Amino acid sequence: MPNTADLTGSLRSSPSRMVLWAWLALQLVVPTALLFAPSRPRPFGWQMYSATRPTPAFTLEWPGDSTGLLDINALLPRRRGEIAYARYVPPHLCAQDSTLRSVVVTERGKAPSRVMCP
Amino acid sequence: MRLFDDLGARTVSPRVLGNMRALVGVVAVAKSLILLDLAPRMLGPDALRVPWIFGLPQLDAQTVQIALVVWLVAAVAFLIGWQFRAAALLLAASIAVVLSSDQHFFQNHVYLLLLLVILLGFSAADGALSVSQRGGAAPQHVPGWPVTLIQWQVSIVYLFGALSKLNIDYLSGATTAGAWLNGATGSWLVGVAGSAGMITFSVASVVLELWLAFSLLSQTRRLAAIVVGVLFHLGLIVTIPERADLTIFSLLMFTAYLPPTAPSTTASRSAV
Repeated sequence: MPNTADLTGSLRSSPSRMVLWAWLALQLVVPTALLFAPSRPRPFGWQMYSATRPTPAFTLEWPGDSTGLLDINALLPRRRGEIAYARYVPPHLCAQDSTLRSVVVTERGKAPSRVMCP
Repeated sequence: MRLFDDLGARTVSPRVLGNMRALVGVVAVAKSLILLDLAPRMLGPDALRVPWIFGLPQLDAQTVQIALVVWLVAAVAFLIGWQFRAAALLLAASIAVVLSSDQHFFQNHVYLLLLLVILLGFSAADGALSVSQRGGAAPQHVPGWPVTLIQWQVSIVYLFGALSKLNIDYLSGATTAGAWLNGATGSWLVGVAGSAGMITFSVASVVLELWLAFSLLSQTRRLAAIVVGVLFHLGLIVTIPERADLTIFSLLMFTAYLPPTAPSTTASRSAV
């Protein structure tokens, strides 16, 4: 048995076992729940390299039928598989370029969708 | 239940916690330097910012950069054990601020770093290898519950790393090939292995991660698991080109390799 005099102050002694069990339970419950999420990888789920989520293609449309394909790498210094870019990129592009009319989002396995700029 | 007893009764040498603190501290310093270098491009006026909740206002770039500087300073203090508890609190808070500022800052190893800093921050991890310990009488034993929780945490990471790979995309070898094809060594391996080889590699990695998750917690298989685990992480670093991030992730996982015993063993009650 350790000498209690060896142990440091109250903050460093063992906290309630309930707290420790709660920590462990949280660390098990969150990733377990995320295993059943509709897409992978998800943050906080320890789903490293578990699936590939291809980045959508974004076609920019200006008035007068002028179009262009976005180079997503120029926009993102770091691409994350957890992020649903189809949701975040069109509003960003519209805010960056006031002349832009719309953005067409093409995702694998889905029909293209057009997001109109305000 | 043995784990129940172990969480409350285990004691360890302060040196075990000191080693863990030093390793996590080195990683925290390195990660802050990497992010400070990357931050201007991630936070620039043209950069795409992704909030955790759609439409929610985000922290401005200057606040995030200040948080990164605080992270660096706190990480140095954490590493050397100076004003340890305040350093741990500041470090955890600054990591949390950066993580919450944008989804692009989320990486599994940054989240793991945050968890390890919190667990070590509540421990007596400055009881050895620390500037605050110089000249003082070091205790021989300190509570070992943070060591136990860190060992379980790392096994949880391996466990869910394996379980999340139980899908057709991964087991077909496509995900592994996609990751490997970005680097020279990995590309060569994909070419040599072919599709049957990539399926074998993928299935083997799932089995390996599952085995590591349980064997690192086993006293009898622990040494073998450490050897296999180190080789596994070296394999990741060699084959996947995201070398800095994978090295940081590996070092954090090695935190649980440092204690001389597995949790939940009678011998570990007063492990050195």
